[in-house]
Amino acid sequence: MASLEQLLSSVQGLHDTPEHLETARTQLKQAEEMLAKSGADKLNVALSHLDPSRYSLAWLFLLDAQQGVTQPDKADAFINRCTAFLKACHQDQIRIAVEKFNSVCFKLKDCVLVLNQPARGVLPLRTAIKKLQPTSEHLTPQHADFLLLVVLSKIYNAGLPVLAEEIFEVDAKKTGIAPRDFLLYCYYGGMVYIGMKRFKKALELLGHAISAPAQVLNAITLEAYKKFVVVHLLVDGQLPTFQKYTPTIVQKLLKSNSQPYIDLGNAYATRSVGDLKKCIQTNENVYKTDTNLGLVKQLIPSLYKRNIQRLTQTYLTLSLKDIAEAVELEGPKEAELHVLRMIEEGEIFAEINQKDGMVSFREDPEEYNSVEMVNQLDAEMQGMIKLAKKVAAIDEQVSTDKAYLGKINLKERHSRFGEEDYEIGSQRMFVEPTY
Amino acid sequence: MSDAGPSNSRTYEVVQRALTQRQFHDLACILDALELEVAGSALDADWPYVLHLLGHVILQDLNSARFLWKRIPQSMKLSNPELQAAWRIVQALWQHDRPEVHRALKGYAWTQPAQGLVTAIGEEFGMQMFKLLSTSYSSMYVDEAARILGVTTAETIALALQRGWSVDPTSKILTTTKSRERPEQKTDVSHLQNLTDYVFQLEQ
Repeated sequence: MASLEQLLSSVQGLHDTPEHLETARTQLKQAEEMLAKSGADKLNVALSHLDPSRYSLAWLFLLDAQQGVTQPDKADAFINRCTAFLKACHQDQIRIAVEKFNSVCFKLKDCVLVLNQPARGVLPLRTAIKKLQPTSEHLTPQHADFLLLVVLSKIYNAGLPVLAEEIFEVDAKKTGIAPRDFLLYCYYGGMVYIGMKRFKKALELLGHAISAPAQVLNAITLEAYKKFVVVHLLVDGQLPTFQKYTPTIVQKLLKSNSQPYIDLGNAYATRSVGDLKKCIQTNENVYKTDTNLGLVKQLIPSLYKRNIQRLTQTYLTLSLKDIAEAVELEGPKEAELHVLRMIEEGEIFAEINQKDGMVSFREDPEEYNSVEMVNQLDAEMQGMIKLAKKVAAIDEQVSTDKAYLGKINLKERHSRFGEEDYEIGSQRMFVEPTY
Repeated sequence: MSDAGPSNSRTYEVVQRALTQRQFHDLACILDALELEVAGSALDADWPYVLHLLGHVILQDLNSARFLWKRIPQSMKLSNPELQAAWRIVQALWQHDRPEVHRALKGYAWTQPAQGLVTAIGEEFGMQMFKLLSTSYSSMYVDEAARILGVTTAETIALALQRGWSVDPTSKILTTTKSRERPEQKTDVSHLQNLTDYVFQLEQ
């Protein structure tokens, strides 16, 4: 077996063409056992003589070969080394050793968690995402870990730029991503949006975790669903229904495992703040254990708002005293503050008359004739056109896919035999993971 | 090769530049980026937390301000009265307690770099409140308006008259008049072009 020195001098000659890199990778792979036995000190000395941007591939193997890096006394040095490496490394080289790259990033995450310094991993993992992504539309295994560290370090706004990049590609070959990474990305991403009170965006992400193809119920999906129910009540005032492509088994199990949250929806639907408060009190421990109590409690002010909003649909003018009575507020002053706040946030259109203690409800003054509105409409149309093109491309791709055509064939054959077989065939097709 | 992030001096240099050029709205973004770079190095005691917090406030990004507060070490919160004063502004804004916002802004002798920022926040908040009153109220009591605007009743009356509102001296009630800004309605040829593109797209 070649020594570390021999290996490195050989690999250093192989870094410029794709063929050379392929040879270097084979050599490094064959030497994995030797590297693992070399010991951290020797590997670190070797690394200090190696330029991470020119020899990223060798760096990756040497970093990953270090044993026990997540021990508290070694973690700090490992984090520093990884941070510098991720900044400098060459993307073409790390993309041919995706497995190693993911393993190193994973250890980096473990290290910052061991030291309880999640903030240290945020920037390095953001860099890692950019380096591994073939395009900004690809999801990587680092997305989920990055968002986890964002949540743990409470630097929620750092998560927004990454979440703003829309994901369309989940490509296991190019990024080594697994279904679990996707679910966690949706879950932690949902948490970041909830923290920043961007509830509609949170619904989108959490919704993907729920409707993802599955044959069993995943714990991540269940936790995502609990949050989804509460956020859905905040946004829409009603319990959510499932997307029709949600696996049947998942639907069934989610419903039977989240009763306290369904109760919440039913209490909310009574429109009585008293009933809602009682329901929250009854299940308080459940929500607390699920770390959803803070989110659940936001339902109370939301119900006040929704009740006031409902009044605007019926009345043209109403006294503050009547509003207070109708929505179970303490008195006219409190009702006035609620109404003022809703006007400020653009949730209702109204005018308060303090002289008579009355509120007049108005129509939305937007006339949709401003330049600003035209620009907004333009941007949405452009987005839609882009999306339509994507859907068309995927449709084409699927309709020429061998596996898909095979299943369609099977389905047709089944349907000739009878309705029952057809059912099983078609369900199967949607249940199997597609990535 | 090992890069522990920018030194404290560079932090202050960038922050100072934003402050002297009165680019208060960029401050939070600059400090957010720097915070990620220095994460983990022992900088906690020196970090300009007050400016960072107020930087989020001027952008009305109360969520980010709230999470920043959660990141600040407990010892810092207790030992820095200016930081507590800045947090009182965030709390008042969070609770929509408008008179309390004015009290929090004026109730502390801010040190120099923070003072400029607080003044700017106060000015923007005052304008915002005036706009809120004129859209939300058809009539209101002078002293209530004064509390929300954070000025004296005499100043409120002067402001109101200046905007063409009327004041009833006996009942002390203001009657607002709507000054609706006419939205810009100019269209140009590019809109027409876009429209053609859309129709073309729909017909595909």
